[in-house]
Amino acid sequence: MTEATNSKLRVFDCPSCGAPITIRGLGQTSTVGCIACGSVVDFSSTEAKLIAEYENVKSRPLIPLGTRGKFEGQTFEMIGYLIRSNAGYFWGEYLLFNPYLGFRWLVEAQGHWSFVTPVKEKPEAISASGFSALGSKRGMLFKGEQYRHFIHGQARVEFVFGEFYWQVRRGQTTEVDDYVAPPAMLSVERDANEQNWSYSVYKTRREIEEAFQGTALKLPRAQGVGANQPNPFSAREIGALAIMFLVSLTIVQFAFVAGARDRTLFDQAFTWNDTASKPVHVVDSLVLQKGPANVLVSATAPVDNSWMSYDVTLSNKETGEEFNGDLEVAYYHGVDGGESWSEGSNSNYIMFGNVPQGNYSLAIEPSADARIRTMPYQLKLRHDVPYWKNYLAAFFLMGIWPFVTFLRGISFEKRRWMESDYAPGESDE
Amino acid sequence: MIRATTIYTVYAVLISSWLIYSNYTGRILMNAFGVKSPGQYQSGFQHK
Repeated sequence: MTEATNSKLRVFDCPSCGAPITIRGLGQTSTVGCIACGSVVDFSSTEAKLIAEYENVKSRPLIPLGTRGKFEGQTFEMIGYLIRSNAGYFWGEYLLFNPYLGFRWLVEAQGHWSFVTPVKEKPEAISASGFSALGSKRGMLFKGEQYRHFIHGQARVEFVFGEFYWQVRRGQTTEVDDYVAPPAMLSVERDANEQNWSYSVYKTRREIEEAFQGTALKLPRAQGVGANQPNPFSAREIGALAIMFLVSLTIVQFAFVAGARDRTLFDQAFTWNDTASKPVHVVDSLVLQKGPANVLVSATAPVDNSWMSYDVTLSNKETGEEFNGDLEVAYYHGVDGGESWSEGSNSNYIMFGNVPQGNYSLAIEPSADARIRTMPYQLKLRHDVPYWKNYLAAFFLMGIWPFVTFLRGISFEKRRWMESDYAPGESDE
Repeated sequence: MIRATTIYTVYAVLISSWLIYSNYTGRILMNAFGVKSPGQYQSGFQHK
């Protein structure tokens, strides 16, 4: 075995395949996984010892060993890579080293990344009674933030590349618990001798690419929902905006309602008589002083399993513009299969919108069900009446977005927790 | 990347503007969809 040193790096040959292995972790490296053959070498003593034989290297790190990246304003070098698994679920762990700050980790699972910092203080166990229906009621309190227990598992080392500051070997297993408060996560690893807490923050693929700027990385797209992935459909911000806009909208609407003149320009009672010739009610001069505004024509008649209809025409005497519509008053009721039913009512209205101001004539031509012999009815024309449908439509359109966002957020959280020990539909721990 | 809140703000401002414009001009809901008021037309004799 040959060995070479310089002030920062140490190079020796792999005892298994002879490939050169570079040590970057200064005096802190304990174990090295050969990147050429996958053999694991104990480097804790002066002599390198092979502790795990050659293994067919099936996986390569997405970030090459020795690559430097910037996290939290500090430069770290990737010196080691592990693949670990739990119940058939695999993830990659990249050991980062900075000679002044020590070690950090990048964890990649299904394209989701986390930057991991070891923590010394132990978080406080809490009963998470205030948490939502989804997820765990077990939690941890760390720096004022509540973390919900996500998963418990056995993390098994599957592959080892590069160097590590502890004795690592394939098949090594530790108990792991994860607690989430997206984008943060707390993890604890326990074995017979110790337990270590770490704090991680979710990183997007783009953030990782930016951190390793200058190195062309082929990072996989994220699949599914990461345990600590921030919910992109958080309804909190949009909900707050929506409330602000909906309140403003309501104030605007009330201002318009208060400002509406609502003038009755025609209100008269008539009697339908089928023996007489068909009448046409004409109002020759209606002055609409404000415009454009709406005009509402309403009819009331005590119809009973019958109908009356009114052909309404409003004509601008100066411009010739006409507004014409059929106004029907119909009321039917009965009993069908023991259930009583009814349809329609004794009154109805038709509304013309955007009617310019001016001098108008009104013509209303009634007609009636052939069974009606005589029927009293009332016709009314109101100008510039308070109108709510525009407001309701605006309210709906403005509210639908945050509502859909809320539903998508719930769906996102369900998918998150499906991967946990608390999958919706399963009993809590 | 444009934030969802920014897009929503623009969306909400447009809807609010539409409501103010509609109310101010006495437009009813069907007018908002490009439909004229029931039977609204220019009578023939004016065009002669």
